[in-house]
Amino acid sequence: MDALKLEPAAMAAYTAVADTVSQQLASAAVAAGGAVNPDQLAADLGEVGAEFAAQFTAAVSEHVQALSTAGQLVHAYGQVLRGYNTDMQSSDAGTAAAIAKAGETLT
Amino acid sequence: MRRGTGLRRRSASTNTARPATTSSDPNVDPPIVARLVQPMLALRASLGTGVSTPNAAIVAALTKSTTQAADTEAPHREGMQALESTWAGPAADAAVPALRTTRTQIGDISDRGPQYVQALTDAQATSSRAAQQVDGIIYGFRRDARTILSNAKAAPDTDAVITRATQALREAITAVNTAKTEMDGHTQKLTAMGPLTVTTPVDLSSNYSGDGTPTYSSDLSNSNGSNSNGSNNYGSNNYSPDNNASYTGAPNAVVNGGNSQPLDPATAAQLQLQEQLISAGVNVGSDAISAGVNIGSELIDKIAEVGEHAIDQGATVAEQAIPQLINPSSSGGTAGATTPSLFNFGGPAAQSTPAPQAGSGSIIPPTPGAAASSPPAPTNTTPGTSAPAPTPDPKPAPPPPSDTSTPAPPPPAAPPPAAGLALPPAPGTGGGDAKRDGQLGVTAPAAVEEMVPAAVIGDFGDDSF
Repeated sequence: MDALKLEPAAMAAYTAVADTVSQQLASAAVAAGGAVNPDQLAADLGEVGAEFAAQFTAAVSEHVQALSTAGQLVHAYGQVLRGYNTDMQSSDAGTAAAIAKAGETLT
Repeated sequence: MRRGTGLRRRSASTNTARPATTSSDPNVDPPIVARLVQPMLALRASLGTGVSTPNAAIVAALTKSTTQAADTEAPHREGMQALESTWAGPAADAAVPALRTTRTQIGDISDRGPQYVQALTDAQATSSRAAQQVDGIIYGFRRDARTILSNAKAAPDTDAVITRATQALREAITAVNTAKTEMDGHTQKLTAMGPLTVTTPVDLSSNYSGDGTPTYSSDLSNSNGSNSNGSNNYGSNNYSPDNNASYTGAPNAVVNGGNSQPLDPATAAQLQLQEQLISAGVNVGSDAISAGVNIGSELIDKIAEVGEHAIDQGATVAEQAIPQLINPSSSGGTAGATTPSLFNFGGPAAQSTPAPQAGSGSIIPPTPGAAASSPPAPTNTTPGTSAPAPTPDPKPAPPPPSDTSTPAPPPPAAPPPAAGLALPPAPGTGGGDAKRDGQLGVTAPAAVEEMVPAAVIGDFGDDSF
């Protein structure tokens, strides 16, 4: 098994970054949503540009979804790692306490 | 003259009034012009507003989104580097690649914003360019038609307007079709970008929860309750399926919704032209032209030509709508009348075609519009009509030029130098065939012989040699 290594401070720093990044991505997704405007495209490009407009709208909608999904993912990463970090530390502390307890019992 | 009553002008506001074929008010189209311009206006409308730059709000939205997404790059990268350098173990092995993948994909996503803006800019430029072209074509038609009508003395002037309209419409259709082709290219660029992917970290979830020891998972749920923002199961099971569902679902819905397309605008315009030509013919025929004028056959020729154009483009709708109009001319029941007119459509000679029948040949030649439209006509018409033309022609005449001999005799009336260019070959062969063809002699007995000599001399010389 690989060596276990964990630096709680770095982990905490990352989770904080993840929170910020996920919020920004969510905001970016909302902003990109403003570019989904099929009516405007239909007026500007007309019937000749209808297929382009449909494709464009689909692409931008996908863009919005991708940003949103990425934001949720990063948020989940942050949450998972925050839990993992806390868990590992408490586990470590618990183990230490148990060992100490065992030591006391032995003595 | 009956014109006097018809010419009574109304106020400019009554746009739909029918002042007669001529109107000196520059803001009101004469009826025939107003009708003939309709399909061009429809084509113009199919190009949208014609704005040359993309909608500012759309661009701003994409720009802002891109900036925000791109701004996450640096802190995200630094946070991950710190994490990767300090975290090791099975969990790290499983999680870090997933985090990395997501971060890369976020970069890809934010790169897309400018590409979308560029594609939209290109599309808008295409639309705008075509719109300007069509605007110019419409303007030119209105101007020329007005000029023609202002000199109107008889039916042929109306023919000239129709000819000019057909030419203008053909140009407009070309412009729109070009725009469509370009637009398809822009659409393909969008398609070629491919779908955006945001990979759900399966590895992270499975390894993380699966490899974890029992104590770990139980602890996880406990810590979760205290740490997370109210979501008890932040585990992978919860968020990954949701993301997938929303991610793939939405774009499809949009694509389907936007894909319903009405009739091809170019085809629609052609169909409309046919209607307009017919109604214009009826209107003009009853209004300003004395009975018996052969504008009807002229119209059918035009319609047939337009119909062929539509068929060239595979417009089956047009094919079904006008077969009866096409057939009379293509089958060439009366070879003398239809064949030459089709063959010379748009050119000066075309105007002379109906002349022999109606006997108004002397009036027709001075059509300025026909001369103007002669350049584009041959290129479009010749390939399509050359095939049917020889067939109905009863004459054996092996060389195709002999066909031109039929209309050639009438052009005597066409003094312009341009017509002279077309003449030389015609009379030569015509002269030879004329001896066998009784029809020619009947059609233009004296005129042919009088006019032929100048042009014929050379050809006869060739033949004799």
